Amino acid sequence: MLSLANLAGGYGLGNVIDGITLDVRPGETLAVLGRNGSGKSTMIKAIMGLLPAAVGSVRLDDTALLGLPTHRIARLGVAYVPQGRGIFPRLTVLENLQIGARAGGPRHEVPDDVVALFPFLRQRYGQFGGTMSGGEQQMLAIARALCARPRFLLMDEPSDGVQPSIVQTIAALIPDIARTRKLGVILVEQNLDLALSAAQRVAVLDKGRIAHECVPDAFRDPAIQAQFLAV
Amino acid sequence: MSALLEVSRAGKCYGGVVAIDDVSLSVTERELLCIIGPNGAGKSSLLNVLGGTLAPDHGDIRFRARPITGKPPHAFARLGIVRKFQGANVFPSLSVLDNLRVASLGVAIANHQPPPSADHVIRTIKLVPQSRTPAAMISHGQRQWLEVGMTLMCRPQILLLDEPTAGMTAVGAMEMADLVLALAREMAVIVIEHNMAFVRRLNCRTMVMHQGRVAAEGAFDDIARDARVRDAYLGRA
Amino acid sequence: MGGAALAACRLLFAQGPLTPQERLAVTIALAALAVLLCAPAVGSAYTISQLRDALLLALFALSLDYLWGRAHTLVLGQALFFGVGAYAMAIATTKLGWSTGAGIGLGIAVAVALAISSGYFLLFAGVRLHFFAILTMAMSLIAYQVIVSWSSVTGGDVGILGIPPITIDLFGIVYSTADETAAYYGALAVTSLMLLALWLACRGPYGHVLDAIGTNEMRARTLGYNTSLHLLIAFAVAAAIAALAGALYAAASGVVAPDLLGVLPSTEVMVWVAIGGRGTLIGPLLATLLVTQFGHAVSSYSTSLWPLVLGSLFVLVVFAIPDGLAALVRTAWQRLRNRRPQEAIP
Repeated sequence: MLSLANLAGGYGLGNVIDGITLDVRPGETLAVLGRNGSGKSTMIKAIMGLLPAAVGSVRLDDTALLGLPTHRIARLGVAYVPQGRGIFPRLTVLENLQIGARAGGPRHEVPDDVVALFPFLRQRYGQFGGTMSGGEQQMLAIARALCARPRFLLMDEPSDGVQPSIVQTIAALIPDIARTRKLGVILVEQNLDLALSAAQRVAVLDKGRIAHECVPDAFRDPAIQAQFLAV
Repeated sequence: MSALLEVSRAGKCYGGVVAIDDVSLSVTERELLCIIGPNGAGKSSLLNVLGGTLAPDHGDIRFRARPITGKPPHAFARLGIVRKFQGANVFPSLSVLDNLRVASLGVAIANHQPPPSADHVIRTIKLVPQSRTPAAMISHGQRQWLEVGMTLMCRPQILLLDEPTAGMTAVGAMEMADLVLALAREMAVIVIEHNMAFVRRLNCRTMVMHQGRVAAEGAFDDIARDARVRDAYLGRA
Repeated sequence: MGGAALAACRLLFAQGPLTPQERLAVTIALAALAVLLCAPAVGSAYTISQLRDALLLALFALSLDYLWGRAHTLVLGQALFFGVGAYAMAIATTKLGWSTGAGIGLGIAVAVALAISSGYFLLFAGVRLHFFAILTMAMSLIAYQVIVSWSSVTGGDVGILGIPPITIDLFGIVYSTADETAAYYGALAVTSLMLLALWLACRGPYGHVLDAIGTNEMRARTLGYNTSLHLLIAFAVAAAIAALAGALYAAASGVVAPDLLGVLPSTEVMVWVAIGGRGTLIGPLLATLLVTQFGHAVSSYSTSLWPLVLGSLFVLVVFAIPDGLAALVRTAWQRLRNRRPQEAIP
């Protein structure tokens, strides 16, 4: 289980997240919603050890993650698909995937079942990551994260820049991967259709705190959406 | 009506991969055009050609009937062809207000005009409370608004927007659609988007790109009903 | 045309009110100026001549900080322009019989011509970052070789001796750097005025434009900036300042030698800027004074020790305070302010 307790922090000018407490179980997908600037990406960065000044607690089962360097957190089984994808542009598709596989341990193989989720990748093994279009890079980033065989997956806006039909594919893929691989997923997403169809649980951030938690269907109510997402 | 910006038979390859293949396109004054299409279809490359940041291998670009192919990007901006990049492209170390101020000076000084004031734009993009915050510290969605604001500081005659709603809430995307509709009353706007709710709200001439070519073109409703477009791109949406 | 240029300058160099951070920098600068003004009253003649040289080297450091710290363009061979200024002064006064004023003018003109001719081809061809830095280093190596080889003009390895002091006769009031104290105050005045000028130029929109070009050049170009031209102008201005520093340095010390434009001074000036805090102007200026004085102390103990100490200092700064002493002072001051919340501005 990935547990956050009173997690707070920012970038030097006051806290962006201000006391977040939540749990994600293996096999469960949690969607984190909220307005722009509510602290969603910051929360993900804090879990991954990318926020220099974070206080509170982040635990993976019995291991305290807060304060560990990012590469240790990754090796403990927390994978991260960053906003903007973070593809290595001068490496090929295969090399990007191999780097992902090594993050999970000394095993150098790219798992076939991961590539099978995105069949187009195999045809593109020799292409440089940087020459792929935005949506292709997004899928490569997800595949790369899965290559490490993580126990928890943190995704920051996987629909960003991806064509609608592939967003639907991703929406179906996430809960499927989570269930079959016993993978816990935190999905930060602005695309409500994707978030609500992929997640079993929804948490809404507002001003760096959890303002609301519910099941996805409850969040389809326009009044609730207006309350938590309207500017 | 004569074309404001016209591209004829433009092509571009990246090391053997064809990004755009003989694309022709024209927009008139105050026209709104939306470009959709699968990832990798060449939409951003086309926008790069239109905005002067990518020289096509062949084909030519005309602005008000004057050829402008091969001119540097700053010359495009000074003519009034201003673009917003994919993935919020701002100056991270500068405050929101200084981003807008920097954006206001380049074209204004070159064209010997007084620069526009940032006051109105910063209200339009709803970043008044963040005006002194470095752009690196605002959220992705807010940076998108900021970059759109920066393009407006250049007094565009034709605005090129690459995925303006990425990273925005559903509500924010609709607000962006309303801003684009309002802007299109004063200038021509070309938008690339994947957010179909946004494109539907714009309800304008829509062009579908596929494998570097224009695959279909027409009103959004017709495009959305096209079976090939549904299969290759939209899915069940 | 002239009116348009004036209007552009008025926009780019518009002055706003002081920010709290700027107030701190101004306070430090004024305190340093007060100490430096009093120095001749307490320091020995030797210390004052060392401090005079350090002030001219600080002027040199300002040229690099403007280019590296503000325009984000690192130059590894900045001593080229310092050396050109020094040699132009030496050749003009000892070989051509020109006045020292004409010597300064020649130095600046040659440096600017070199910067524009080389910078035009490099910057407009899109050469940036480490490629640009390395090419400027190559240029300084070529210049060094020319100076050493062309001994009929440059004096070869020995250099040129007997450069006269700067003398200005303004309606009977004679100023001459032959007098040690006058030379010191002259160096202090020129360096202070250059600090003030660069700071005023860069604190507003122009500084932001340079920052924008340095951090995201394509975005700046698509907002209508001719970024290559901006960088070329910055390169030429920095060359002119470095040449001015070199010419004054040559007149003050009376001699020039090839090691003025070698690899070591180019590296040293980079170290001063890094230690002081890139882009802060006052930081590199004060760092130059402190590090050169420290250098004299170490060298008096053992001359071969100093490069070792300097190198270690650089490594230490890069690891411990990558943003330099200026960042250290700023953080300390912010902590102090936060401890007194009752004084915080609402």
